[in-house]
Amino acid sequence: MMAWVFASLSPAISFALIGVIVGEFIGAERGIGRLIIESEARAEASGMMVAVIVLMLVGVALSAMIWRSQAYLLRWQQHNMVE
Amino acid sequence: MRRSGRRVSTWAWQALICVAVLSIWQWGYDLHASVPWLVPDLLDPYFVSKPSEIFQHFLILSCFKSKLGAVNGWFNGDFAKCMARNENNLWITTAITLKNTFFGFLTGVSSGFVVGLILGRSDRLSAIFQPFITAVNSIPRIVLAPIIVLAFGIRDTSKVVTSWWCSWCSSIRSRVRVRSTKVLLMLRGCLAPTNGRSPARS
Repeated sequence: MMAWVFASLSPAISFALIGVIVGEFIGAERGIGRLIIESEARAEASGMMVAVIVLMLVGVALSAMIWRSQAYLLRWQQHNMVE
Repeated sequence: MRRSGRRVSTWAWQALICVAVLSIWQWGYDLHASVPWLVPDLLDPYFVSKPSEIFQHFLILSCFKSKLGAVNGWFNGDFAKCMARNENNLWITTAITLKNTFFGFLTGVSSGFVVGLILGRSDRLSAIFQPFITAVNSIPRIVLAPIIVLAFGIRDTSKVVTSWWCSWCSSIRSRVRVRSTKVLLMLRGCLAPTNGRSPARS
């Protein structure tokens, strides 16, 4: 069952990130979504791209963290799978 | 030997693709004046910027350089001054977003897991709540974000709630999986060696 719980964690973290960013699009004082909206208002494509690239790195890091903790916590199961 | 050779060639292809995409991004639009049919208007740096400009903008936003282009020194305190002066520098911004994502994820997954577990264990509750879950799942999750921002204000709370909502919706789907795990455990008694995977793949 733990494997199924972990299977729902990686979509959950990307949806959590999407939720924060869209929330910041709508109205925020600080945050990456705010940075994107602010750059858009100034027509600064480079500022938006900086934010997008930072978000890409953040997303990769978050899913890598999930993946690593899954590999660590479910190591008994991988052992089972080898057999 | 052959496998390591294949891995190196994979890396070489990936590097090549990166270099190709970045160079088209950087210099592609320079060809627009001479061969307009080859270069789409979308490559205009006004829309998509250029890797070199993006890097310069990154240095400014992250306080490594001042807006005039001078390098902010670490030891003479320029970097710290810039961090203190500019509330919206890249570091604070990223930290805030990460913090909100973390809390939203944590609350969303834990509450979603509890709900999923309860509904997965009880056929009665599952039958009662099934239509509601289908209805809620068919709302695009993000559509509630404006309402949440309206209700919780523009501070961090609304971000955590939006993020909680999105990850909660995606993690109550583990309910279905808890239910299918029961079947899986029953099957495993009969088909022990396959361990839930199809024999062809193992």
